[in-house]
Amino acid sequence: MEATQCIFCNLATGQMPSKKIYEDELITAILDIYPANPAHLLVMPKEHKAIFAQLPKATAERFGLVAKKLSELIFRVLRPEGLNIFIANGAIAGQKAPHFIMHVIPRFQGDGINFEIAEKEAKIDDVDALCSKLRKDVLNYFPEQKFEEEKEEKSVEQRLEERKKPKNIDLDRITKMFE
Amino acid sequence: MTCLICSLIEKKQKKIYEDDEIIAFLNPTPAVHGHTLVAPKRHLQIITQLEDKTVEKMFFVSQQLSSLLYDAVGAEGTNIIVQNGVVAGQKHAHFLINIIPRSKDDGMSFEWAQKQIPEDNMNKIQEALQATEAKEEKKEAVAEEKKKEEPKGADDYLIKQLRRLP
Ligand SMILES: [Zn+2]
Ligand SMILES: [Zn+2]
Repeated sequence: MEATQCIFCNLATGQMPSKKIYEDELITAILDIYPANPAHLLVMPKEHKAIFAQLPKATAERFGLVAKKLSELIFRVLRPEGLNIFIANGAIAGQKAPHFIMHVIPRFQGDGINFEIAEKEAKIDDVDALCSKLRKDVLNYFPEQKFEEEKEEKSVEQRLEERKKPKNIDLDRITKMFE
Repeated sequence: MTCLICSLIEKKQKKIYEDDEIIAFLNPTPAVHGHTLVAPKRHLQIITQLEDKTVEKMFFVSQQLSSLLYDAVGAEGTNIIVQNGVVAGQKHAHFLINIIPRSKDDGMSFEWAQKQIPEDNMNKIQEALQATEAKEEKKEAVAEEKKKEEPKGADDYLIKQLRRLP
């Protein structure tokens, strides 16, 4: 999708009118006009990015800071009993448009919204296997991490080199799901 | 009362990331395979209690971990969910970022019904949020100014005294 055709690009950069609540050089937050609850905020990067993984480090960090600041603001003004921060990456996760959005949703008793996460008992072997695999992957992203059981198979230099390689996410496929 | 999350952090159980402030580990009772929790090491309950730099780091680490989970469990999407307060679904009094890999037919859904809010009310909400935001910014600016005016702290004083030493 062309960035100029993207409604959220236009909202984030002010090409289209919106009920803006917050803006800095990287991010814009507006009131959702079809909200889950009053004061439901949509927080968007100004740059057209489809999913979280594509955001530069500074923007990903800024999303954290803005999530905190906007939560404070909503708690102070609306005095809700709770608040959810929700991100959907990919149509399968509930993403509706190919522009990254972080939802900030004030919550009230009996509001009919559900962000409960049903937890299950896991098979220990499955979790152990995944944990070992993830630790190896994590070292490619965070070479300074230390895991006691892990043998030092690669040098830090090797890991830094591997980290530069493109991450194996099929962005085309994820983006196509919207079409 | 002991906190389950604090005890998991202490045991470093199924840890996949750790630094001086935060830790990430596989949820022992996952919604799906690969359900990861990112937590501050300090026992803090909701997002507003976290320091700015901690929350920034937590989001960056969540981003990196959610990226590698695509490959690790063959996910087709991910959800990142923060629950602040029991009505928001929070189960432990310890702040968490949930990273949930998603795939077809996993039986999960985080959808919501859209509410109709009259334009008037929308405008009132916007005004109230903007007014409070402006007030907070002013307060911060005043605090900054005060900091500049006030005599420097004891540390600065000591450093100056030390510099005077021959
Ligand atoms: Zn866009
Ligand atoms: Zn705790």
